[in-house]
Amino acid sequence: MSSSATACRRGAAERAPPAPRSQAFERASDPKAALRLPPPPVFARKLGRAPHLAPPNPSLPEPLARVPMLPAPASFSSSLRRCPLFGGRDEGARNWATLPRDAITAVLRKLDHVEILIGLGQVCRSWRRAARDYPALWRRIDLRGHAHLNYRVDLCEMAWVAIRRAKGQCEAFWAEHAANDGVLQFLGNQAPSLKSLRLISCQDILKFEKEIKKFPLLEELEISLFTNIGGKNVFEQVGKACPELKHFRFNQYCFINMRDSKGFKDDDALGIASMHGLLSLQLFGNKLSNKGLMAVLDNCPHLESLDMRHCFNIIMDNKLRARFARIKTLRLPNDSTDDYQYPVCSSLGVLGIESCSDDYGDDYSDDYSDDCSDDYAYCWPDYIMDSDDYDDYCDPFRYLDGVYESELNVEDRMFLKGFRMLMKDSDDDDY
Amino acid sequence: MAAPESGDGNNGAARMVTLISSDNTRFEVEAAAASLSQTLQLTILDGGGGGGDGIPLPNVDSATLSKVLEYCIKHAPAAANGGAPNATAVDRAELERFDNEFVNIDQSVLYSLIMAAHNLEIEGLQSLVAKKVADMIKGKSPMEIRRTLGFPDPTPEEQAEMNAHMLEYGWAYE
Repeated sequence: MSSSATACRRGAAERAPPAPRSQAFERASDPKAALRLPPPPVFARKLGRAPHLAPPNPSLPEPLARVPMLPAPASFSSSLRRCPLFGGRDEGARNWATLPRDAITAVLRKLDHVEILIGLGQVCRSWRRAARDYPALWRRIDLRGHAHLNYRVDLCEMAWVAIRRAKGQCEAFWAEHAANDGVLQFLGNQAPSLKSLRLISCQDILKFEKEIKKFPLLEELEISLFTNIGGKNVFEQVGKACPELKHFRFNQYCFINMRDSKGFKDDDALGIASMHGLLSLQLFGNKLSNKGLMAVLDNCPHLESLDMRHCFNIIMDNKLRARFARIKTLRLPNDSTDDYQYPVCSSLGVLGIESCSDDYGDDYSDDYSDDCSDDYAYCWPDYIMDSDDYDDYCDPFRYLDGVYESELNVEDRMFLKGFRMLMKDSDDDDY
Repeated sequence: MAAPESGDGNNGAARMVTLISSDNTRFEVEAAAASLSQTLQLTILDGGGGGGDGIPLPNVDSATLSKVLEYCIKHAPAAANGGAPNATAVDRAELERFDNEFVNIDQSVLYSLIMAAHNLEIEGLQSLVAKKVADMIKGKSPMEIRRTLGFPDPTPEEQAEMNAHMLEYGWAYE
């Protein structure tokens, strides 16, 4: 605080009822006047319990308690510990349930929203109310980091509760496994001024292009890891619906390169090129090629941060390097992933499951395998990416040898039904 | 904030104030340290608490007040510097070590501290204790939290209410 600010405060103090030092002693004898600020309600409540707060040793002569204790500041806590007054403390005065609202709020602010919803917010009535009736706490909803709870609790249900509690003030909604079409629709109705939307592993969103129209003020959007959102049409809708969009992250859980994807490599990128106001773009493990990247660079003139790690279809050439000159923060496909926010796993093409022979020959296989972090790896499917087995895996209506359920005879259908129930049971056992 | 109250700093360094706990114990402490409390700050700026008289704190007992002042004395220099700018990494690490040790206490003391921090409006202390409480209950179910913090057992009515809310929200942790 500057001295002028101090002078200001003093000025303010003078405008308040004068309190000359000579009167201080009289004031001290009057508890109401002792402090400038009126005591908070809890103060009065505690005063009401004065007997509990009396010195634990009632036989202690009053004059002794009044003896001025003026130990040196640095050592007084140790000397105080020897003081008889510090014996036991009245447990009756302590009840966490009666903690004042702002003290509960201070604790709530140190917890994430999932922890509040499943733990602290359920402890007792007063804490539940503190968590419920405080919209500011829910202004930036963050339901990330609890993927492990996905099978034990309904994270989407939590999202509903959190959005409701924000009472229309929600500015940011970040969810991991905690959003589906219903949640997104509810969010669209409840939070028209949403500025930040991050959806991580929210696979049950299938109508994204429809719901995104409700967020015209969106500035930050992330769609990462496992998702069904993507493609030119969807991202063009985003570009149209969210003219304020400045930051976009679209991260795959890993780089997958499929032979038949050649025509669709730049599908995402061509849609992203319609987000003209982008300042930063993170595309981890995207299959875009130089063509798609050029479209993005051409159409996003303000782009100053570009992260395309693990986008192994990009081939650095002089033309591209020249275009990168205006990008302030640039991460190239095989840059280090140490500071990447999600677990990194090896690219499927690199593993040799599918080695494409187009564009880029075999020169990457050695270089990139070193990049892949060993810290964490998703389990690898043991099917070949573009084989029939893979189709079966992707298509829930096909079973066994690629036969549709409707094509099965009665006996096989019964077998399938029993098999499903068996699978379901073993699933339940796991969780 | 760039010029950390030069005038007041000179007075404050030498100036002591007396605080009187609910059980009538008197504590003499530097005005700068006591001023971490928003509640006390104005009284102190106004010249209160010096000389023979003291500032009575009828809702803080001596054990709690000594702990509170231990915190204030440790944090006063950093607060006077406006926090981080002048502090070295060593100073910050030392403060952090102090803070960690400071809250390594029984939950009943934590309760007294958070109440005192609330009543005296010491933001840093309230935040520190709240963080500790949050760490203690992180990842715990409502019943575990009640046990950790020493809540009395829920009455049947409370228990029914808790169950109803869990059902209503469609999740149960236990």
